[in-house]
Amino acid sequence: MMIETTNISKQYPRVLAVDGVNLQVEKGMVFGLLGPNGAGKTTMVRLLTGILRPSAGSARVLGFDVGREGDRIRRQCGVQTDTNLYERLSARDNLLVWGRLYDLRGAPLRNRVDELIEQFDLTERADDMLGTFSKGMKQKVALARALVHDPALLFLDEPTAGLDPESSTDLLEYLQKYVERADRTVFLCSHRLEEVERLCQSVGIIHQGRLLACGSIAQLSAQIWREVVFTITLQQPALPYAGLLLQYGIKAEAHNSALSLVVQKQEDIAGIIRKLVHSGAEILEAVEQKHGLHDIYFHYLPRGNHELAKY
Amino acid sequence: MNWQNIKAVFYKDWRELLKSRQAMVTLIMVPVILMIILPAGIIISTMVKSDYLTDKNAQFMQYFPQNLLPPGLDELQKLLYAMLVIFNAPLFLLIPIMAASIIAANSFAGEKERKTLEGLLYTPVTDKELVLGKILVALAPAILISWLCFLVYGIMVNAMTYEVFHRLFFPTDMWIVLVLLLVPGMSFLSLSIVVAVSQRASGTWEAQQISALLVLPVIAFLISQSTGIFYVSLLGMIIIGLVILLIDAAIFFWIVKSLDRERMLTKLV
Ligand SMILES: Nc1ncnc2c1ncn2[C@@H]1O[C@H](COP(=O)(O)OP(=O)(O)OP(=O)(O)O)[C@@H](O)[C@H]1O
Ligand SMILES: [Mg+2]
Repeated sequence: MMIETTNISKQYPRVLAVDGVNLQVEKGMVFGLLGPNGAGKTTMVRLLTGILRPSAGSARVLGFDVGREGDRIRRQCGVQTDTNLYERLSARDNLLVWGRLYDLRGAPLRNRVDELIEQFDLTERADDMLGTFSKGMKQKVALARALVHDPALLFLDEPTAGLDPESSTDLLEYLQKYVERADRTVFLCSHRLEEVERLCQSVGIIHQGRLLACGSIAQLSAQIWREVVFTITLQQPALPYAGLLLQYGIKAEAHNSALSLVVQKQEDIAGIIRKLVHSGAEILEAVEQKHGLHDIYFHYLPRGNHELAKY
Repeated sequence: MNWQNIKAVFYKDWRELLKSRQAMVTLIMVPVILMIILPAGIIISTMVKSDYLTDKNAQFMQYFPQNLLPPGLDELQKLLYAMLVIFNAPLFLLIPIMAASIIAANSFAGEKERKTLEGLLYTPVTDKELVLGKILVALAPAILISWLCFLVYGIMVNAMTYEVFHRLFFPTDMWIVLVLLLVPGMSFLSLSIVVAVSQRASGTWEAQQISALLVLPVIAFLISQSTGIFYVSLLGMIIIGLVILLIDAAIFFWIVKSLDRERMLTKLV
């Protein structure tokens, strides 16, 4: 287990930013922490890297206690947040300076920096002052900086904020490659659902400091929606077939030529389709209505109704 | 505590300082003006236009405490000695104070101002290493610049006035004490004021200006020295130097003890 928290809380002078969170992140996985602005994501990163002390509870990261062994944790993890880089230094210097803080020196450091510059497509501008870079380029340098010592655990706090679709796709692709290498773990904070859906094997939803849900997308979906919803599209009007199915005790709703029905298990749909075909229906398609992260997120955090989500 | 980390912090701040044009210009110009252009001007005008100046300078010398001057000097020698050895001593002290406070403001308050400190807190560098690296990056150049100034000033002053003195009259014992005790002492004092102020100040300028207050006692020293109201003997100077170093040591332990990563982070605003 790379990260394991036990009822961890953080009280700022006026806000309880993290409120009794229990979560586990296994080695080699990408964990996505989702939540609206001010939910406590950044605070969580600060707690897990030991730069803030928990007000209650505890956490172990890479096997070390966050309260007492922060230095050891920080040695093995890379962190990218929205803090600034050194604008007066070149991109290369930013990376070189950072590598030294992780005990890299000489040729290995220079090679590593060259490698990152190339991977992030920064070769042409590598020696320009960072202050002259666009936001997206700075974001790439920030990510490269977090990776300079090839950390076992990577914390990313909204890595694609401010990036255009091309750059964020590039960046996500790079991240995917990074985690495909054995035993690299990522803790990703984001409010971009599609990026979390694509990258993360496990997600947590946090709101007002409380972890509302945690698990894989399939697990979360199964927890919320116990039944499977299918939509079957016919060649002809669907209403008579809804009546037909009712005779078998199957409730279906008809809309024009579409039938939507709820089954307990995915396998049940085969029998239903057979019945429909037998009675002359011409089936164009049968689609299981899958619940994506989007549905899950808004299940826990109904729009415009965030207060409710607390209960 | 890991010396490599302290060096890494030092290296980072050093790279940044070299790229900061405003700081570099001040760091170079002020010593050049105070310790080269100004004294060279004094020497040249005194020696070339000595008859014109003697009237005015006679007035100056009239009030100047004669007991500060070594015996057996003629009028011109007295004048040069008074200005170059005695009057310029406090001026020289402005250099370490200025250099240390500019660099420290850049590296402590500046890091906060430019919102780069949080990133540094996520690295394995400990609080102590971070502060030590930053103290060193202010202290070492401040002391080295001052010593370099002292060297250049010494050579220049002796060379330019050789035909008047026919011997090397500089440095005096007082200057040695100044260079060895007061330069490091005052450098540290001024940087630690910046560090303290940086905890509250919102930016580099503010931190720098408040620490410029340290210049006031030096100016008082300058006036008292030149008018003879309050003359510090060599022994007095050594005692002042040692007291400053003691105060420095106390402040240093206080800074190191009161360090706290969490406070550094949450007081960022
Ligand atoms: N230094 C601080 N002092 C006091 N309160 C703070 C501090 N930092 C954050 N907070 C508060 O803690 C809560 C959680 O903040 P946090 O930055 O962790 O949210 P977040 O999930 O990262 O939000 P965002 O998506 O906007 O980055 C907020 O209410 C915020 O106002
Ligand atoms: Mg945040």
